[in-house]
Amino acid sequence: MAMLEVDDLHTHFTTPDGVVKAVDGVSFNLEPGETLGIVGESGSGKSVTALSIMQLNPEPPVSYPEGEILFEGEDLLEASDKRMQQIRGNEIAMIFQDPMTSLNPVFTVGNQIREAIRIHQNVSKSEAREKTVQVLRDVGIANPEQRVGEYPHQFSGGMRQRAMIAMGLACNPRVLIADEPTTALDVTIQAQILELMVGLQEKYGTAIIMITHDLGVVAQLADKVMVMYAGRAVEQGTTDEVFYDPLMPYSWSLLRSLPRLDTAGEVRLLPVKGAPPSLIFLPKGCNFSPRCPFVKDECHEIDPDLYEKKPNHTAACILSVEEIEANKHRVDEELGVEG
Amino acid sequence: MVEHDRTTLGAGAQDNAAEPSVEEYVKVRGRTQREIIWRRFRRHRLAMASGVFLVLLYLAALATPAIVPYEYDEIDYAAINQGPSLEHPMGTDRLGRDELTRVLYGGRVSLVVGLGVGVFSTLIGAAVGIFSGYYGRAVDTALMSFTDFMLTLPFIPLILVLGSIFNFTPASITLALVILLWMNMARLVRGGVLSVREQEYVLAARAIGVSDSRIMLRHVLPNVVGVMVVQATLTVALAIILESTVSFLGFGIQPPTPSWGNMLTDARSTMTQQPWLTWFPGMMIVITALCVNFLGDGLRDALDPKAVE
Amino acid sequence: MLAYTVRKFLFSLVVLFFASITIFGLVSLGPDPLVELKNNPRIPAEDVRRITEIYGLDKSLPERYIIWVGGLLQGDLGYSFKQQSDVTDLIVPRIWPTILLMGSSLIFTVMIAIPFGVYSAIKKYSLVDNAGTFLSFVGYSMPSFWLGLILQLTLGVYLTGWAGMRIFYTSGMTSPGGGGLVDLLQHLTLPVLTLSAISIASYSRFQRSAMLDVLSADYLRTARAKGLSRRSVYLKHALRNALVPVVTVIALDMGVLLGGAVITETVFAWPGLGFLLADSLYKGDYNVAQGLLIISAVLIVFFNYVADIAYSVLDPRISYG
Repeated sequence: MAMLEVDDLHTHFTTPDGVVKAVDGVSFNLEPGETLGIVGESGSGKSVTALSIMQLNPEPPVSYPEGEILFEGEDLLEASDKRMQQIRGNEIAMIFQDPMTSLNPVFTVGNQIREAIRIHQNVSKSEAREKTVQVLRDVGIANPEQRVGEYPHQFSGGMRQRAMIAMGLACNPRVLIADEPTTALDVTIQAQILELMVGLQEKYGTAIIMITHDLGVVAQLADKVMVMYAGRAVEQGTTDEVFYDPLMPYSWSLLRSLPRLDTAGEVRLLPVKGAPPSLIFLPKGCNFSPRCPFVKDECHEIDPDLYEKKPNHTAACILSVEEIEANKHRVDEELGVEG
Repeated sequence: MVEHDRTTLGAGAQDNAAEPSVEEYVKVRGRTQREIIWRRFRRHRLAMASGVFLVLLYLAALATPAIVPYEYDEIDYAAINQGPSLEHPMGTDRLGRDELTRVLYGGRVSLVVGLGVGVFSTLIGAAVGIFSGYYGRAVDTALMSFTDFMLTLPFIPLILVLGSIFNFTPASITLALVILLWMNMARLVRGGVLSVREQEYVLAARAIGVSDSRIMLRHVLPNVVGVMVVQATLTVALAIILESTVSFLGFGIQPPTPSWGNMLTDARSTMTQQPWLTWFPGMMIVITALCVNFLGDGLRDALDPKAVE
Repeated sequence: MLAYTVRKFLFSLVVLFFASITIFGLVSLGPDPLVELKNNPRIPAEDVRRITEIYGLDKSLPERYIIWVGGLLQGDLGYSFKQQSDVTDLIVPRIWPTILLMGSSLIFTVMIAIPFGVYSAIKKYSLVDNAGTFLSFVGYSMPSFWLGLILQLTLGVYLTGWAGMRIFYTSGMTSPGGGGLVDLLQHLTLPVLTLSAISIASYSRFQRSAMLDVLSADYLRTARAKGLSRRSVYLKHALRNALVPVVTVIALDMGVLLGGAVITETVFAWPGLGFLLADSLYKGDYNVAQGLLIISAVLIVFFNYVADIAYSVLDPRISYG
């Protein structure tokens, strides 16, 4: 049994306009020390998946009609509020996208990190303070003894995110969920933060779930990847597999829509036409069929499951591997992509 | 053309998202700004009702001499100190004068003063706010310092002193109230102008060389109108209450000119014996102010550009 | 931080200066304070002239202004000819009643308005919230003097008649011959209710709005993600942010509270500074009025200053601005 097993998770929101199926049957595993990248557009359900694990979706509209989230054997969907409070920040931690609004402006950074420690560990104030300084140093913040007394607005953007990471790792959780941690940062800072996370993972042995729409981030950090679309996982596999040999037209389209340095100017980009479907009114058949470049007639009738196309590489598409490869080849030629 | 067709994604794809229902389609269709505002306002039933009531009230104030059942000064010794009845729905006072008639006459002054203060304080406040926000720097500092200064003057004590020195007429009390109430409008409008000024379409207009006054009129003003209207209603309500308060204490509208406030001064001495004389004029003040406030609230909701359909 | 405080203080002094000029100028438009002495045939012209000289009443306006300010800085608020006393002596015994009234009202207001506002935000659109919103509207729309009159009538007269004994007093601060704490409370209740009504309406809505802003903040989600209970998140993280605007609003509102006190004290014959103002104006005693006006101005400027400082202390982002 894996450390974290998400099994057929369904997360629904009841809205005045209808039931939004934000997560519509997602499954994945996470082992200690592994990094899983969850990729998708806005609205694909990746953040909601993470918030479902943390049980932080807004209570009145949300419901979890099916599925389980097993953390070390315990089903988090059944866990009590108190139990979840014990788990959050302590065994499973989460950091968010915008560090400026994610930190309370009226408390010092040190105070907020100390709070994370003291909720879960029975240590004295001075011990907590020491640990805070140490963890700030670990994330690469210079002069941590001085910084603990400072307020979030006195930190730069990159430093704030480092502080958030420090806060997340303060209790040495088994899993760290990072929801678009670098999206709000400058490109150069992004690189630093990612490097930091790799280093920390080695040091602490934390498993990471990295949620992002940025494929570059995933390529750098993740061992395995899950591509999400319209609330479902549409492709899962190791990072190498999914990047070099995407077997779901959506993943492939995503990759083809990104500019690359080595082919700049020579290769045409292929934007994905259209927009993601409304999660209340999903299309008939395959969710991606209205926008799919390889679409066949059957696609509008059959709603595909995740089929194992190659060992440990699943994709939600009814096309065979050969059909997909042929389609890819055809379009690549037209775009001018070699090989 | 043909090439494009073949290489854009979706060659062979049909748009097969579930057909939107008619209701959804209608929802999405665009509307004119005015339509949107009116629709939103109509949803606010309390505000609508208040608006209607206020219009009736002001019409009644205009038409008072024509519609009153009795004369203002009509003394009837046979009917003194009577409580509300069919002939005298609001009762009579110690001289047998019909209270309803007197309330209507009193309303004329109070309503007109309220409206006058609303209009003029809005004009002055908006002017100050727009100039201050638009021109910035020295002009802004000067105007805002003056505004801040005016805000530190003790409102009510001052107007009482002024009322004591000069006997207020409806016109002069309007003036005094305007002088004391324009500041909040100025600040609000200035805030609105500041947020609009940095918008790109304003910068673009200036780059083309559109004159300042034209920009202020065509771009800035429409954006702050919402805030202005709401604040204006608040001011009207406040003015009605202030006028009645000052008049009640004896420093406002002086008898024999009636106002709801000074009617209550008289009523006070016989409050326990003839409570209706205290009740009715006061209720009129409350109801009028309440309606103005509800109206303002409805307008605020309707005009809020950030509200999502 | 210190520079900020000092800067604000100096600015306050400048504002006070201009306020004093305005006040002095306006009052000088009033009638001659010696008019009764002059018209009294029994007072010799010689005496009138002497008084005029002593108090510098024949000097030019700017000179009289300087004399007045000079006196102010020494604690001398001038002399009341009508009431034959130093203005200061008239004012001092009235200070405590006004502080008692305003202080009690403030405490009462805060104790009700803030929790109510917070609760209304958390349970948005609940019955309590909607009722509160409606009551706030009514509160805004009600002239405080009329509320006072109605309370006098209902809770004062009618309630006493119904209960067979005096529950609340409708005027004055104490019963003749003094009274204990209970007697004081019986006198204090109705004025406090009257003075507080509008403030409660205003602050509770404001607090609700401030709390709503905070409730949608990201950092609350972060706090939950750390393992804090909902209650801790509300009370520690949310409230601390939501109280900041309200504190400043209250401080700024003190000025308006003074005006409100004038009305309430007059309606209830509460022997405080507000009543003194109205009373002096009825008597045509403008020297007293002038002294009270400048005191009001000082208090307003003082509270504005306090509000500024409080805000920068409570919100660490401001100090450095």
